Amino acid sequence: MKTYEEINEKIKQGKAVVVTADEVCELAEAEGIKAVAEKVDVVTTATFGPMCSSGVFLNFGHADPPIKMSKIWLNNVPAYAGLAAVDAYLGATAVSETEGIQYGGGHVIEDLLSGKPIRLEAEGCKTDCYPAERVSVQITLDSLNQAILLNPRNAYQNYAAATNSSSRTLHTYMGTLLPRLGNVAYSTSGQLNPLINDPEYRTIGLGTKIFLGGGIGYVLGEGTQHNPNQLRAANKVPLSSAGTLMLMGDLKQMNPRYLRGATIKKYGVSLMVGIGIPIPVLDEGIAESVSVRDKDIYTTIYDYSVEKLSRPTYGRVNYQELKSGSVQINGNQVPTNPVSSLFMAKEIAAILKDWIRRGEFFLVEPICLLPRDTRLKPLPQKEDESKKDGLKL
Amino acid sequence: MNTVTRRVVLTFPANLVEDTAIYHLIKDYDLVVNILRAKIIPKEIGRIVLELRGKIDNIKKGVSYLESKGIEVKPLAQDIYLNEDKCVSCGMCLAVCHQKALSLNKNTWKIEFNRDDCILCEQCVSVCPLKVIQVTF
Repeated sequence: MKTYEEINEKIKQGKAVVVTADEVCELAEAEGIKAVAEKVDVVTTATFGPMCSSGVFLNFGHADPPIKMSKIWLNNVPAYAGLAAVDAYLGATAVSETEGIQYGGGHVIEDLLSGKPIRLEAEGCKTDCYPAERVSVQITLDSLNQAILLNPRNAYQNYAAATNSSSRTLHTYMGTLLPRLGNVAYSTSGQLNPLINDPEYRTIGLGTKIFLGGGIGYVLGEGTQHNPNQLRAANKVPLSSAGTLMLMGDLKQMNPRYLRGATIKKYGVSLMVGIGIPIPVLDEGIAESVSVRDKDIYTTIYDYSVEKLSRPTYGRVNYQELKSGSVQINGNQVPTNPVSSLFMAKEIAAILKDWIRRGEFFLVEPICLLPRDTRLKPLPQKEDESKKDGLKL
Repeated sequence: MNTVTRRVVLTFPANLVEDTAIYHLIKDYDLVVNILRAKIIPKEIGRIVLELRGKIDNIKKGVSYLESKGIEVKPLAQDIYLNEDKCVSCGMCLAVCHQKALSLNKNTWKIEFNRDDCILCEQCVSVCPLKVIQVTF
């Protein structure tokens, strides 16, 4: 048994044993779980991929004369202005009013972080305290008072794989799905995935300090659509999309390599987010969880050609099979492709490991762990009472 | 002499778009010609991606013949570019690359591009979420 304090003391003295979630699997295989519990202090996990539920809170500073902004555009991408006078929330999936999905919120976030000037246009209602009605200026990340990345749903604990049984090509957030079961797309870093390494949320919660977008971030708690009740295997790892995290961090200290605006063909705009989460090996139970391998992590393949919320499945496959390049469906070998980057995830896990080893990054014990009993509900199907008389034109 | 295969891009000036050069490649130079891709509109610059198979001397002579007519012949690889510094190796392009010119290195998990296998179908260009693949076809 170890405590956060003991591990942080070891980090301070440069004595902490830190390995990535890939490396810990090798150690577990060679020396067993007990050795992992005894030898390893921290395991670094990571993921990098499009995470649509992301965005940034901005404070522009007051104009002279002042304006209460009620409509805001950044490089022609609308931001939410229903906040105080010069506060806004720019969502990653917001689409440019002039360029369509070729440019959107995710790209504005990347451009801001890259130091590029951004055109801010705003309209406001004239009041006694805010006389201006319109403003059009250039802003930069430096000119902002705050730019706080706040992502309502990131770092999915596992994710469903996607295929397409129809006769036409589908363009989805899982990328291109070729007709007649032409490919299977998957989107999790498998044995490197943060919440898969802490399947029962024993170490991750409000306050957990993380790598976010190349800088420091924190877990705020459960993300939207957090679904701890997903079916689980004997090793407690969910068999499809399950837990999620809400994350925040100061955009000003992040790195554009790890936050990338993305346009997914015929789907829309997103933001690729790089996340690294350290897991303290407090006891043998956690040692066992972090030693989980791709071959013991299963996900479910769903048929995206069925336009229903609950789609038919083509069974379960593990990540060793998915990463091999093909899986078997109905007796046929079907090529697989990822849509999240294992290359970048590995890079992030290595960077976080390096930060901790060098004594630059300490663990923070969460003050509240993620809930394990919430249920995921669909939208109510009940008709709106006001529309009962039929559509009036 | 060994039979070899070469992939080339032909650019036809507008006045040669209706020329019968391909016929002569087959008839006069004994080449096996496979048209991988073509963009031909009357009175506009036309481009064809060709696979030529035959004796190396015949391929050279055939290419000289095309050039003598004013048709530009370039190796295929020059027309496509993957910006490796900006690519994050997400893997979305793999779904549409039926030639397997784009592949995932299983040691580094980095996307690798093998120009020789590319037929310039351009499907990866619009699928790439970061727009880091560019084609000038």
